[in-house]
Amino acid sequence: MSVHNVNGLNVHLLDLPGAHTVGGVLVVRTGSAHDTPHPPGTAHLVEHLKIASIPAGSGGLPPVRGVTDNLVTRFSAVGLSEQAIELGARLAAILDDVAMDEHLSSERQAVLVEMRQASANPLLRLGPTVAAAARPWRGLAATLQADVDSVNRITARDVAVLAERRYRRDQADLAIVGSRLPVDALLNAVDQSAGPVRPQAGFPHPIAADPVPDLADALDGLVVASLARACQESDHDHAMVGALRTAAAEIGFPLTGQSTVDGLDVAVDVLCWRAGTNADGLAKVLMSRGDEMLSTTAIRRASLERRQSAGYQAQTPLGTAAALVTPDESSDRPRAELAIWRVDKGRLHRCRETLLAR
Amino acid sequence: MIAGRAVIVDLPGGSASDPPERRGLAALAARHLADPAAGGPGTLASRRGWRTRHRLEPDWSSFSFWSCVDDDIGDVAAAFEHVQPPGRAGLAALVDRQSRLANAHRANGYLRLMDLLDGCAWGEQNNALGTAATLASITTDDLQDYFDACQDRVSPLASPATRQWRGGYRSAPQPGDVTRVAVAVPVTGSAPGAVELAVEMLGSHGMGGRLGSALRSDRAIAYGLGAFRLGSGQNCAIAAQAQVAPEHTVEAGRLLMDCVRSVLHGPVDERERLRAATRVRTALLLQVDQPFGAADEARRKRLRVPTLVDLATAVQQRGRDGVLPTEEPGLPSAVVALGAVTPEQSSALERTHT
Repeated sequence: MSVHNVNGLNVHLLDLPGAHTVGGVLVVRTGSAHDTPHPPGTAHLVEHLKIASIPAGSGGLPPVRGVTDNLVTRFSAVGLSEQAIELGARLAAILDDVAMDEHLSSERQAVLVEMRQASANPLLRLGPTVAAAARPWRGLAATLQADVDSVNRITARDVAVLAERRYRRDQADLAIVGSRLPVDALLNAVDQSAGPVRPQAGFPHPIAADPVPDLADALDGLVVASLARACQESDHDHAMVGALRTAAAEIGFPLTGQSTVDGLDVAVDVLCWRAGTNADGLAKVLMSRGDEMLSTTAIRRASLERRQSAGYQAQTPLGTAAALVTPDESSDRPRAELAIWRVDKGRLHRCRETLLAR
Repeated sequence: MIAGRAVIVDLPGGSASDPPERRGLAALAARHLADPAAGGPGTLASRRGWRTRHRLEPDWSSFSFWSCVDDDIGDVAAAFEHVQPPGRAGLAALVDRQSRLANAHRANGYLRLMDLLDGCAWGEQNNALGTAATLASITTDDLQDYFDACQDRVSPLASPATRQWRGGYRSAPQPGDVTRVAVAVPVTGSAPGAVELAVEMLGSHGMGGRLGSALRSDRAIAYGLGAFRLGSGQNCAIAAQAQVAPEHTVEAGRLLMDCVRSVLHGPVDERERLRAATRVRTALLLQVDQPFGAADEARRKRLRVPTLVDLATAVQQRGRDGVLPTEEPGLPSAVVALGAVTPEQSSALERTHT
């Protein structure tokens, strides 16, 4: 693997012999937690507009996909192995200053329909809500702050200002993985497409809007476990999540849902179970365990699972590209914290929290 | 790159082998085999940390295992021999889990739309997971019989019956303030790769094809949309779906149908065709690059169906020669809507399918 600084943009290249396709991921370090002072939803709308504004090109590359998270926005694309240069140029062009006004109306509607779809499933809001309650002021529920009113208030100027300030070479990482990459031509195409080189600028920490919104009554009776941990999961963290699943399954509660929410210097795993009238019993079982569930065997098994999982993800060019732009392991790992919650009348109630041994 | 190894084990009992009164049997058997606590292949996979995949097809129940560590994955087929069915309590737990999955399936808007469209197109719904009644009738002896029947067979226990196209209009209510609309047009006489090319000209992921231009760029009424192939082999249709606000239901149905027919009836620009062909080839070869991709290709060769690499080559040829499927004459299309559809909207959508 090689890393190249292309006028401020870090470009990670990896040769994957035998691959039929090339995969690329561009991570821009701006997300919903950076919406302020613009209306909530601005970063998400910019993601849509950036994709809509990408020139179609001539080679028939599939559409770029985007996801706006709390702190970052990820764009990913794939192509045939001979399309590496076009793919790199297309992803890099997302950082360029381009006029997006002509797509503002259609993409605003697309964001609103996407939000409607998400609001139809209240379970989708649970992960960020619980994560923010477990670790407030870390931007963990930033993606939940937008509503129809705020998205309708976003102006063309909001979009242009956020894009200009945050879509910069020094605020992004690009990874391209494929077979026999034409390195020099690829880097040249990226440089030509990535827009102006701007002087380095300091960025304030994102302002993470809280408090956490209420949940829907439909979630009443859920029992929820949150594991707040360092951004990079350890074997111990992985074993803990597995132990919680097993403990609940053993007494007849299969997992209803699980997600991981990333925030400022923290990630929170959220697991939930539909316990109905048995919520007290399940919460007690989960509360009474904790460190005792973590045997040496469980941690060894978690280590094997993580190794297999990482190997599996790295089999494809796109999966490998995504892994290349994942932040490095922090040397200062905080202790993980397990908390058990119940949902009642649309509100979260914390039952107990436990600091876990490393 | 970390080297990985994949193994696929096919049992010849697919969903088509389920007796009508015991629908869900093959799925239940697969659930038992994959159970980490059942002592079979699921237990082995769990202990080794293997990545697993199961696909219940009409002909086959296909299990895949993947590992990147030096272990005994090559011997996993032995774990399928002499499998013991669960006891009564174990069977009840399996049925409970499968019922929960079936309920989740019914609550998923996209899957419900696909069921609705399938039923509208062919007059029957895919029910591989079974119903409460059919699952309740399955005994441990049935599971034992299934395992015994699979033991020494190399060809499928049963193959699905050929389905006759019906078409028409159907709707069903669904909570939420998004309506899902889908259309399907039966096609005929397709050269290899032609259906895949036509689907991609519409846009299998929505954007990049005619659907994205019509429903999102021009009219801004849809978020999720896409085209797909409905059915398999020669008995198939070109289909398209979109999620829209309820007030846009009728317009979406009309635009989806117009887009599908515009591709089938032409004219089609060569540049558009070649670009779509490149996108299809990318999607196909992306599957070959997946961890199970090489094993899947070997399986296709064994089953004597075209490999994805062969299909990618055929699509490239269709892009050049412009051979596309044509609408089956005399058959009505299928139109479905899932959501809060008013009687007026239903009347308008019914007119769309003719």
